[in-house]
Amino acid sequence: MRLFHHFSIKSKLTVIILVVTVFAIVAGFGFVIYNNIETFKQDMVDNTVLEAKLVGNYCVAPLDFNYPSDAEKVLEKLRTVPYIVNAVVYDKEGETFAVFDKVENPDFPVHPVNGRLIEFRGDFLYVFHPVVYRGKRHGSICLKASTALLDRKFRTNIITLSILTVVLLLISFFLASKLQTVISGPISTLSAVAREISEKKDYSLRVKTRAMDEIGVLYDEFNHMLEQIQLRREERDKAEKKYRDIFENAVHGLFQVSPGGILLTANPAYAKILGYDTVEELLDGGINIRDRLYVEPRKREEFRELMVTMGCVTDFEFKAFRKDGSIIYISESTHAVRDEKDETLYYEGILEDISQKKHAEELKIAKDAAETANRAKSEFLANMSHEIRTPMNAILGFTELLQGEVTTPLEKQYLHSIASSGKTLLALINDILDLSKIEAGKFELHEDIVILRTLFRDIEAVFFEDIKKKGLDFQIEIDPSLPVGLMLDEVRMREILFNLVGNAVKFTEKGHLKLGVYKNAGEKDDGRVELTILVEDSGIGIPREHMQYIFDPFMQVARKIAASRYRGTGLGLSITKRLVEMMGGEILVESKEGKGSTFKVILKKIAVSPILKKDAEPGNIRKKDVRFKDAAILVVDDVESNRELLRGFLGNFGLRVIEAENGEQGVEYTRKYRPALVFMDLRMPVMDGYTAIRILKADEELRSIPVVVLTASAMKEDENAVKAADCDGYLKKPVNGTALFDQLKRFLEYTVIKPAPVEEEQVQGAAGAEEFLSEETRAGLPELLSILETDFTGKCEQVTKRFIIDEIEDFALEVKKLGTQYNLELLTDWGEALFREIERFDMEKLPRTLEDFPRLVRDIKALIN
Amino acid sequence: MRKKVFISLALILLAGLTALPFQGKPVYEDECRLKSFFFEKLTRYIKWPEQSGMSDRTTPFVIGILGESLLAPCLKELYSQKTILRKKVEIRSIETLGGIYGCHIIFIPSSMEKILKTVIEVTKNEPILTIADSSGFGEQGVLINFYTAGKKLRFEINEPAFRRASLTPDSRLLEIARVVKSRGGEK
Repeated sequence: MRLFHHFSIKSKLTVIILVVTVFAIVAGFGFVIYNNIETFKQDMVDNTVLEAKLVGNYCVAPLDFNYPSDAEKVLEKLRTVPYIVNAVVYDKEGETFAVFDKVENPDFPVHPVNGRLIEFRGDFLYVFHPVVYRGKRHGSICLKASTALLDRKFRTNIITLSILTVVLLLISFFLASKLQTVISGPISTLSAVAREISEKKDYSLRVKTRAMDEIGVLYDEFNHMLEQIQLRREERDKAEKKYRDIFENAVHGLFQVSPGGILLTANPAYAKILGYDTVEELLDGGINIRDRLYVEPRKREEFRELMVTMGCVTDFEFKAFRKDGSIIYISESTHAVRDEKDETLYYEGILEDISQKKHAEELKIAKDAAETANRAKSEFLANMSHEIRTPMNAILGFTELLQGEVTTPLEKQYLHSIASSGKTLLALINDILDLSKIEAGKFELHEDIVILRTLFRDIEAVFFEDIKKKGLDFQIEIDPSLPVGLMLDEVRMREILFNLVGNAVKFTEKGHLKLGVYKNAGEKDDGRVELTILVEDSGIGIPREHMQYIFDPFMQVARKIAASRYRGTGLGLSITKRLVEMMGGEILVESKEGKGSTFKVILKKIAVSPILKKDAEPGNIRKKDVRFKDAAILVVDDVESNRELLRGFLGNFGLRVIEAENGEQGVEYTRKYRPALVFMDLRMPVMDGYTAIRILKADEELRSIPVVVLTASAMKEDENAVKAADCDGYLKKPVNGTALFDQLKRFLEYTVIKPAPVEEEQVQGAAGAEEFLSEETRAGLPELLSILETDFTGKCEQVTKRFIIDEIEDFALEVKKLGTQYNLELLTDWGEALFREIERFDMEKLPRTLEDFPRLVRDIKALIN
Repeated sequence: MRKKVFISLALILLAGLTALPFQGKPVYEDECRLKSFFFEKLTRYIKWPEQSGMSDRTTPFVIGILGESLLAPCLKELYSQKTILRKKVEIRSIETLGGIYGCHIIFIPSSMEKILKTVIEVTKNEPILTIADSSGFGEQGVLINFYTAGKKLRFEINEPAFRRASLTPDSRLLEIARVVKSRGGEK
């Protein structure tokens, strides 16, 4: 039976049909045969009985009359009956009366009691029948019939049946084979498709739907299921690909390793890190990577221990051998993967080549060391800056003072040389310090709102005389589309412009100068602009051979040439370039020897400020326009010369000066004299500036007095510290008159005299001057003149003769005061010019200006008339 | 001597043994008796017409014996006990021809040969079963004529005579009898 189950559907169906058919046939035929046989048997019986009756009938008389021979004659008739083999007639008593023998030795059954018997015994049928006539029984007859015929018939039937069965079976088989296809066909198809799918792993195959019987439903569901499978496979493939991509493309090495240390899985990155070309190369070895990996065996032990105790290891760093034996640094993070019994199946983790990082770390250490060294150098420089400037201050200052003391022209000349050299030295030192500061990155931009127009005018004013003297045409050109307020570092801008314009002026003997600024196109909408500042001259130009050097501070050749030919330190352009670059811009130069030069400074991403500083007056307020209200200023500095200088400056402004030597005194005097403003140096003995300021600011009464810190240090840190010190402003030493002026303006009350336009000539012809004079002024002229003639002219001569800077300065201020008093620009201008020259240590112009004084007086005289 | 005795005894025993089975059986060794028995037997195989009154049990079955016969006493003795066709049997001695008509069976002994023809004439159309036991009587028109063949008592049947007599013999009877027909061409 089990074997049957392994048959194909086709065979099964066929077999089933055949079995059923056989059963039907056999059963049917069997029944028929049985029926047939039975019928035949019955027929035989009937016939035999009939014969018995018939023969018996004819034996009545023989029996009755006791004629056995007659009975035998009758029985003879039975010979014609083929199946009767024996017959016996019995008399009334049951004795044999007559016998018919076809076969010898009949074996007859016992005479039945009731005289009737129909019995099949063995191969024969025995039929006993009574011989009765008219109610009287005369005997009985027994016929013995052979069932041979029956048997033969039976056998014939069986054979026929068998043949028929076989034939029918064959037909049935044929039909079954054909018809079973209806069932098995679709199943076979399904089976075939399923096998194909299984072999080819092609889940896109489907079975064609057909009739909607159970198999049709199966087909549908099969297709549906395949769809699902396909979908899931796609999803799985996608996911697999996703993770495989991650695995394959990961930058870090991903791996799985057996507990024994044999590498199970690795991604390309892992192989690469360890210097293998492919993952296969790595895995094929089958070698214990772990054994060969560690440069330091103890690290391996360490790792193992960590893994055992913690179950995972994170960021474990160690040195490892690559395939070629080279050593790299590796950082490994690994954890154990366990099964439900908590047994370790394998380890998996991440490998990272941190050689670079290590290098970077090492580099950083080196860099830090270098930076520390650099910083030390810068600090040194900064400190030195202070320490250099201070004595320089003194040298120059006292040289000036001395110039007032010496009388001999020779001495004067020597002093002049000293002063000149000193100035040069100071300039050089400043430039060097600036440059080194920039180089060390110590420069920080201090952006504020700058109005270029104002700046340009200022620059113009500075060089005005030189320009005028050389008879050059000076142009300022400002692009109208350029916003007015720009966020720039004013101080640095000033330096840049000062340098460039100064150079232009220096190297141009004839022709023109142009200072312009233009807005570059392509402004992005982030509120920033790109601009080009142009300084153009028609000067001597720069030789082509020098072009590459001009910005380079370290090219000695260029520097020497620059220094010798053009005077100056030769560092100016380099500093300018650095400054420009610090601002994120670039500087370009075009030049033709003999024709002129054009310097372009392109500044990018300059922020625009829409609002002007509140307290920014058009900036045209010049020192000469301002008259301070009488006030006392406290100067706190331990260095005498510094105090002297300030005294001089402040005195020029008509302010009273109180001096203190240290912080303690400073606090004391502040309390005592309640000055309008305090200038406080920081580094002082007894009590330094910081402390003094703190005390002052802590004091309720004194807090309101503004304190301006004087700092010799140019370092931003100190600037910040100063800011933190709660002071109200700061001034850098050596003190610049303008800076001082600005500070004074901030804290002191002043009145502004009507400002005169910068372009106006300092000394004007009487006719021109007449136009600008007010009635009031005119009225005061005579008086002024008398003062000038009596007082000032003589003083001027004296001052000129003695040539003491301080005196000249005082004189200048006095003239200015006078000019202001009498509201005569001529005078104030002259005084201003002189003052400026003093400021700049311009020993060239200064005498000339002084010489100009008499002429000035004559002009004024002319005005009266 | 002893052997003879033994054989004789054996024969006697055998005879006795053979005689045993016959106990209880009717004794037919007496011919007379046998013939008498036959009378009854024969009647069972013959169909009388309606007028003969075989259905009426009240009326006797008459056997007439013509003349004197040795059979008469056997007949009388046998049928004093036995019925024929469920009728009581009357045995008559028939002296006159006229007495024939009342009989169902007429037995004609051999002594009556001279009047046989006449008797046949009388009975030939009557439903009377004529029985004789003399040779040649059958051909002369006696319906049933006994004869002895071997050791057996047998009889002849004149079938045409039966028909003339309106008596129907059963075919069974015809089977065991010797069928004769009248001489003289009568059928």
